[in-house]
Amino acid sequence: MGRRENKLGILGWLKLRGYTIEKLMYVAQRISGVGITIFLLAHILNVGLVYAITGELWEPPGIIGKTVLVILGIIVVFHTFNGVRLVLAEYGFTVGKPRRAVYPYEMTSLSGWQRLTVYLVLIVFIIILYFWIMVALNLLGW
Amino acid sequence: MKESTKMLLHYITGFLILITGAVHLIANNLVVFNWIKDTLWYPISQGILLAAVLYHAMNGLRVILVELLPGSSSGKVISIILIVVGAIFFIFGLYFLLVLFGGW
Amino acid sequence: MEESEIEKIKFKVFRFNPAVDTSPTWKIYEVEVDRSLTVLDALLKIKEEKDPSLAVRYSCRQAICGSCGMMINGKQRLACFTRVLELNSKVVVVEPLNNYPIIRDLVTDFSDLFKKEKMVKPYIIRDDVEEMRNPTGMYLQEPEELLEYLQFADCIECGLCSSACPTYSTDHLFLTPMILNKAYRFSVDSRDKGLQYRLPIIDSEHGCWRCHFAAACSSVCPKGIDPAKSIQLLKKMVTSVNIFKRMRKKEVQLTLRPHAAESPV
Repeated sequence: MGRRENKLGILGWLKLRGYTIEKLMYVAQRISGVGITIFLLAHILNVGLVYAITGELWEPPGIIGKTVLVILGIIVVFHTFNGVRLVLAEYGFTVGKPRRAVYPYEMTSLSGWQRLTVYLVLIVFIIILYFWIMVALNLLGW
Repeated sequence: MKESTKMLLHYITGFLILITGAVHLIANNLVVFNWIKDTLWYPISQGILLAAVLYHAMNGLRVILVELLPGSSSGKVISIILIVVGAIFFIFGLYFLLVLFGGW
Repeated sequence: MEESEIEKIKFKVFRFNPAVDTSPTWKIYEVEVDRSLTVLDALLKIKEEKDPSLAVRYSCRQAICGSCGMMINGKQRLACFTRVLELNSKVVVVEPLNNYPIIRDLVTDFSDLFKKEKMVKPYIIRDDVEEMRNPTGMYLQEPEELLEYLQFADCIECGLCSSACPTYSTDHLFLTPMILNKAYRFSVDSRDKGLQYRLPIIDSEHGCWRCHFAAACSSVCPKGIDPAKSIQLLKKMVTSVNIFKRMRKKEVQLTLRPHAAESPV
């Protein structure tokens, strides 16, 4: 008699329906982290090789390059602010004190200070996104 | 190195990137602040940025890979590969900084 | 007298018997439910009236034993704790819990979790052997000391948290929220002196640091344990002990009590 392995695998990361916003922020933090790493390695190689071959400092090329940098800016801002929120939560500053579990249960890690920092991150992100898009449209020449 | 040390360093380098990265972006993109690139502190801060961002990125990749490919020895293999990749990029970047700012 | 409304709800139940089937199937049963009927009641009705071959784990039917955890309409829930009509759905999809091997139909295998629970030493560890052998008193705790761990001690070990955890869905070596919660419950207890014995397994590559605060565990916990909170507090404790070499924990005092045999009648 065998058992059927029932692991969701990486699709388990994408199962967001029915869970809280913190799970979405976790997925976004991972994806943005990987995206920034790919850019980082390409950027180091790019600037270094261009300087080694031509002796000139690299400049963001044309409209495609500038668009990539605009998107990168958005991703970096999200990753940074969410990262600060995660450090505060993971060292126990915003998750709240243990309390008696009395029905209907209120999970302090999903409410109170921690949830406030989630909203702060989203609000600040949207504000900076607005200004960044204005600056970016300016740089792109629109 | 214990796991808790590795993660504390991850958060500390994150904070360092926040500061030195902001200096990098401002000094390179806003013409009014271009003078920062001529100061002594700029290459030092860029050296710190290079080390911090490579540690943060490689440790982040290590955490993701260790979760996707768990195994008794896979942790060591993943760590070694990422340390090597990080070291290569660090040496490359450091050489660039020394040539650009040190006049080598 | 008000007649309670009776509705006909379709239950789409995951069926798989590894002794006979090669792949899972879905069977649809129609059950008449009223306001108070729980998903567990409906499943037992199905077993009684329509299909006795359905395998279901259940025991107390009052959300205290932790046996009847399953995926109901895509979310981890206790079947006895979920009223059918509160799901607001004409079709209720019932599947076994994610991330655990399936033994049959809705029954899953929890042996991985129990193996990890043993590794984390879920009991009070003390070193005063003489006092243990010949007790002269009690270790009484102040209300603040009790509150440090009481919430995390209420765990019924239903396994819903670990099923929801995104880390556990890819990393089978992860200690899981249920076990990390237990490790914290004992480590922060003022009567316990055993954190050093648990540290190697907690502060390891697949220990508390593979939690990234997705908080899916807390969002499905049926008893208000908040395992996400206990894991973050565990990280704080582990870092404090390893990096700063100190732990802000009150040590419980021995309250001397005369033995019953020695006290005057």
